[in-house]
Amino acid sequence: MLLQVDDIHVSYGAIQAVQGISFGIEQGEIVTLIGANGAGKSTTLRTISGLLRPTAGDICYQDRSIIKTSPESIVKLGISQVPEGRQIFGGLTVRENLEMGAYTRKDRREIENSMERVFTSFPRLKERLKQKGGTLSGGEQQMLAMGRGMMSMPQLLLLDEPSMGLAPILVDEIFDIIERINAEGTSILLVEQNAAMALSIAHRAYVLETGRIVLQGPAKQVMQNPQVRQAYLGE
Amino acid sequence: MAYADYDNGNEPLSNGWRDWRFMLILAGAALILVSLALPFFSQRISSAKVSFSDGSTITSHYSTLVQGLNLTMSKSPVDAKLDAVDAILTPVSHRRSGYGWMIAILQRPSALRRHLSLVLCLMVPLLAAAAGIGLTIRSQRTPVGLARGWVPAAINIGWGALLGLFLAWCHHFDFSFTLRAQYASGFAPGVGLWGAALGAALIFAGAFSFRRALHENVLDWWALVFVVALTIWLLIRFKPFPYVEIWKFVEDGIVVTLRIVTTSFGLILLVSLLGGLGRISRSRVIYFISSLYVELIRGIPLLVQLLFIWYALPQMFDVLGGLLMSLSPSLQAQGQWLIDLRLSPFTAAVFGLTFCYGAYGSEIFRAGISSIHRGQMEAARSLGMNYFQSMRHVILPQAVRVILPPIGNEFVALLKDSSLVSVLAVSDLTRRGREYMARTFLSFDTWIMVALCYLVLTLFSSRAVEFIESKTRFER
Repeated sequence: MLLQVDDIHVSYGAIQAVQGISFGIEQGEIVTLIGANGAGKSTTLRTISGLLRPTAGDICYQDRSIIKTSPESIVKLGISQVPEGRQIFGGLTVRENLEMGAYTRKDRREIENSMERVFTSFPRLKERLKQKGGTLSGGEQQMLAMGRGMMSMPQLLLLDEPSMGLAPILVDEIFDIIERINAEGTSILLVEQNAAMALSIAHRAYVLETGRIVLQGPAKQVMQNPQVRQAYLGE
Repeated sequence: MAYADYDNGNEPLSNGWRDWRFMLILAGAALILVSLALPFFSQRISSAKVSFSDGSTITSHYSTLVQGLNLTMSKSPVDAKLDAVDAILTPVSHRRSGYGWMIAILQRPSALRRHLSLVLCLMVPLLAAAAGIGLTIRSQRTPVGLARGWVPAAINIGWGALLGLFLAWCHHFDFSFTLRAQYASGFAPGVGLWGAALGAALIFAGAFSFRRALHENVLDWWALVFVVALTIWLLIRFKPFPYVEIWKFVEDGIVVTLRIVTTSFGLILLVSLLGGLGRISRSRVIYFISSLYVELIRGIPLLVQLLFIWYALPQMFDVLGGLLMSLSPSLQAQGQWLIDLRLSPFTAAVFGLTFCYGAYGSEIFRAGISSIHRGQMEAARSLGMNYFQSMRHVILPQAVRVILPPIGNEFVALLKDSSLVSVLAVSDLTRRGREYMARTFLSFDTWIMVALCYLVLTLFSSRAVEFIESKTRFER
């Protein structure tokens, strides 16, 4: 197991957002967490990346507990999060945004190499290198956010709602790219409300409801589940 | 952009330069260029003679006589009283024209230093003529027939030229209306002066009639800073007694005020940053301490805080020092040091202002930092920055743009509130004014001068803040 989440509980003050979630990600897998608003998907993601602390339970990355590790050290271990709502740095250029993604790394040559790799995934970013991040379109901003997340050369990429607010054609493009990144060896944990898209590319899926896992299994199997079809796929 | 005029219902100017407003401006420019070659006046006051009752006299340049009022008094004979001040007239060669004056002064470096102001005054009408001609020529090349950018320039330099010509006239009787009154007819403006003034008025009127074509304000508020500063200078020149003396008296007060304000503002920024970070801290202790500081300090008047620091703090040091000494014999030295500790007035003033304004600043910083989306912090954290690196590289650079306008206002308010430190023994602008008034009882003149000095400083800072704001604005 690359990442093992073991019965974590997370709360915001008195509100229990996650109430005992366990799952694992194997090397090279795409795993997706789907569920409605407030199900605890993003909370789980932010707990893995160290932004939140679980009140109980454990998270192990490469067989090492990371619940007491700071977010910046978790990045250095090889987990990178692409935050919800993109959160690119609007006042900085595309190049500067990408360089911020390589904040933990020192070697200029390696950074240039990673940037070239990002450009092969997102050729559009290369055309807009000198443009301010805030002036990009929504789809381009999402590409920039993902490119920035890849600049730290993560083994595990956490994607929080990459399809949010994008036109359907752009959603297709983004998901194609996610599959390609995965094919190159990066494991991916994908949090999505667009269940159909997420299930179509994921290997395994977990369905969350009010902070608990209600269904799990291979993505194709989950897609066939009548309850899922009714609740999330609109049938 | 120029085509936007059609949308706003403005008819494009179809007659080109034959439009009556351009004709007016061109006529004004021509009038200025010609008039500067005509005689301005025939004589000027070169020096003045002070006669005393014992028959002795002092003859000197008028401005040196008055500006060095104390010098004249110390040179003046003992037990003699001042009888009269008479102007000494010198005829001007060839009834010198505007150009003539400029050439004569610019040729002699020694004269240049003393008469630089006259040259400057005479150059403004030339600039106005240039602005008028520029406006007309550039307008022929734009599709709407009006070079909008040149209009405010022509308007502002136009009235500036009128002012310049008036001041040029005053140079010839050394700005002394008393001396001028002795030979009133001899200083009537010559035909050149009248002509140039008319020309400047025409340029101003012509450019001003275009103002409807502009949708923005033609008045540049920088001009107000200039006008107030000029008022101070004119007061000193026209009414040397008592304004020269007042100015000399409060001059170093201005320096002290500026030193206090800049020193404390630097410290205020630091305190505000720490206070602001404390107010959003997750640590309960830090949050509590910084909130208590903000709440307590904002509730006590600045004047009371200053009085406390100046009068009550030394007493507190005494008690604390005594306590320390009674506690243990090994603390004798430290206790004595505390008892002897006295803040200098300057330190006390800076300390008081920083303490008070830091509380207001903390709230501004807190608001600025919280206005940046929380996701930006999370994004920075998940790129591998720790809390302080994220603040430094991501949050603060964005928050600065939000913080800048209110913190600029705080600077102006600080400048004004710094007058309160005059209750401590600090010789700032206000205190110097009070000292001068106590000495001479010239209340009106003193406080007008002090008020004008503060006005120049505050107006200038407001404009500077506006300028910086316009440079840092950006779209998010």
